[in-house]
Amino acid sequence: MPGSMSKLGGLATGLLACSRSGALSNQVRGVVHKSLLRLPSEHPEPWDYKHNGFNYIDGLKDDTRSHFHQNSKLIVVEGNIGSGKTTLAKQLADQLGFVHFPEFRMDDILVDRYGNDLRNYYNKFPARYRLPDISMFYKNPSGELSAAMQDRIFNCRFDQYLNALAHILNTGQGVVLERTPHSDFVFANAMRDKNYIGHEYFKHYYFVRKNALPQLHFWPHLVVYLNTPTNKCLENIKRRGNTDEIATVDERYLKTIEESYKDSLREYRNHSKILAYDWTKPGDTDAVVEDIERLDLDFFEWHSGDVMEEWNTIVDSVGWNGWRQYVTNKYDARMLAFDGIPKHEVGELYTNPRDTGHFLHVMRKEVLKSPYGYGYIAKNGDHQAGLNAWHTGHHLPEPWYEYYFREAYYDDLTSHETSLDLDSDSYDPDYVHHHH
Amino acid sequence: MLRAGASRCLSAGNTAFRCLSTGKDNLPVTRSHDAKKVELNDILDKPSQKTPVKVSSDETMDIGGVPLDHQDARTARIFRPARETTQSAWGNTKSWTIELDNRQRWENPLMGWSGTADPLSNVGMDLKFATKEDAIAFCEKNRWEFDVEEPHERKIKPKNYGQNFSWNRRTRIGTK
Repeated sequence: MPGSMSKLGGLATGLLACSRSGALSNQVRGVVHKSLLRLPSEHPEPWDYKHNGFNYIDGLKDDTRSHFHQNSKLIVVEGNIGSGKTTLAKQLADQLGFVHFPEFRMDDILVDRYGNDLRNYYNKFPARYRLPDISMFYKNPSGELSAAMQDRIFNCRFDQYLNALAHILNTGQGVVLERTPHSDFVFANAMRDKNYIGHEYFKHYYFVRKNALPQLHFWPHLVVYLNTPTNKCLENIKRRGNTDEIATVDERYLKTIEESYKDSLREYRNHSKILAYDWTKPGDTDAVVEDIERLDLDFFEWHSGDVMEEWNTIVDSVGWNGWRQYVTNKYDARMLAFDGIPKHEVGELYTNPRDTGHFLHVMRKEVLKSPYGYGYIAKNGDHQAGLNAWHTGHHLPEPWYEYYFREAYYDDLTSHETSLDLDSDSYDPDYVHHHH
Repeated sequence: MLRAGASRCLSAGNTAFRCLSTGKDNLPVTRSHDAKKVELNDILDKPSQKTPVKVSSDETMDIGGVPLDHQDARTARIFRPARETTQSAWGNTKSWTIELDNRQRWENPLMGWSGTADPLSNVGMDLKFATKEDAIAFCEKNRWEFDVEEPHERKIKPKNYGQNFSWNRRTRIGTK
């Protein structure tokens, strides 16, 4: 009888162990609603990359992988103009606890840190430097600067994507991003289809794109595509009430964007998970959140294609800290992507060096009213940055910038007129009225 | 009937009691316009199937790009090459070959070679067909007149030295 009791006890213990291991093996770790996210107590605080930047030596005191949790994901919302992307992206970010990165607009770079809106000085700038924002583009889509605007937008979308990656790698918080440089070509196709940009710039755009996209290295974890028919998009655009937008964004423009998005999805399919929705009637964000929670965004097999490859093949802290520095600093990425590409065959991107000189004169005399650059004007309240200002790639006092073409470009821009005339005494307001 | 009435009373009570609950904004409600998921392959629609178009006659010579100077009538000879007397004896004798008629030739006074402006003068050296029907189809496609020379197969009569002394055959040779 004691032998029988011990045998029965052993069998019960075995069953319990089996059930416990079975329960453990059934666990799936995916994206969860923000109310269900439980982080351990020793989870590190987010790294304040906007004020501290991130350099290699910072990796010694702050490890990158410690920031990651199951909601450290990059979700991209794609769709046609007027398809309801912004509403869905905002609600997604709110429900999942992610941060929402709205789509890049030219307003983000035309207003500097002192509140100067460069558009107020466009009558003083040379014509080449009056870059249109989206309203000005819709008013005059066939203007000469449409290609320059598209070039600038692609450049800044590149920066925005790196900002999203930097946010994930520095804080661990997920990002919901609207549109990426990977899908920016849908607008180049639409503009080319309606002859808003020329053939030379179109070829140049695809050359730059082919060179730039591998430098981003990471693909989104998930792409949410809103398949809205073009007539529904037109209704939404009409409801917005912008007369110039209604005139420019017509059926043909939207149809070209829709067809180009198919190519974009084919490209995304090799690297990311894709959820597509029929958004003829805007659906509930709850349903999208449920579908996202059901996905397994951490699965990667070596021989199952390239989906999630970049996020799962980095093996150690040195690799992760290197990529973190790469996406936070942006200097190497921008240099490898955009430097060294000749532009002399693209007439639409041509800049007269005399125009550059006059632009810098106007910046010093009219906009900044100072010979110094951004962040170094004492009368505007800037703190004197001393020997602690040590970073690569730009000359701003802060280690991190959001968009290169907002302020960081200014100290890299030079011309013969201004390099020896620091106070811009030779500024001639009548330059813009003369024919050159 | 009693069960239906009871459930209806319960749902009515639930609706009545709902106004007494706290946190009214958190109550679940039935919503329409749920997000309709679309399969990715339905968006990336497959290209339509290609349908073959029947043509009444062969249009190769009309769309092939052959210059007009070279479209006039030519005569082709379809044959199987004979055996070579050199070491490549049986080589190149199984395929069918096309040979076209000769065009104008002239003599190069410096080298003594003959020249011609006919680009198809040596077509027989490089164009081989597996069967006679393939060669005939090629000539019809190019609208060439053609003659077919049937191959002359040799007849091998088996012989043996011992047959000279066979007793039942008339192969005996006299010894005079």
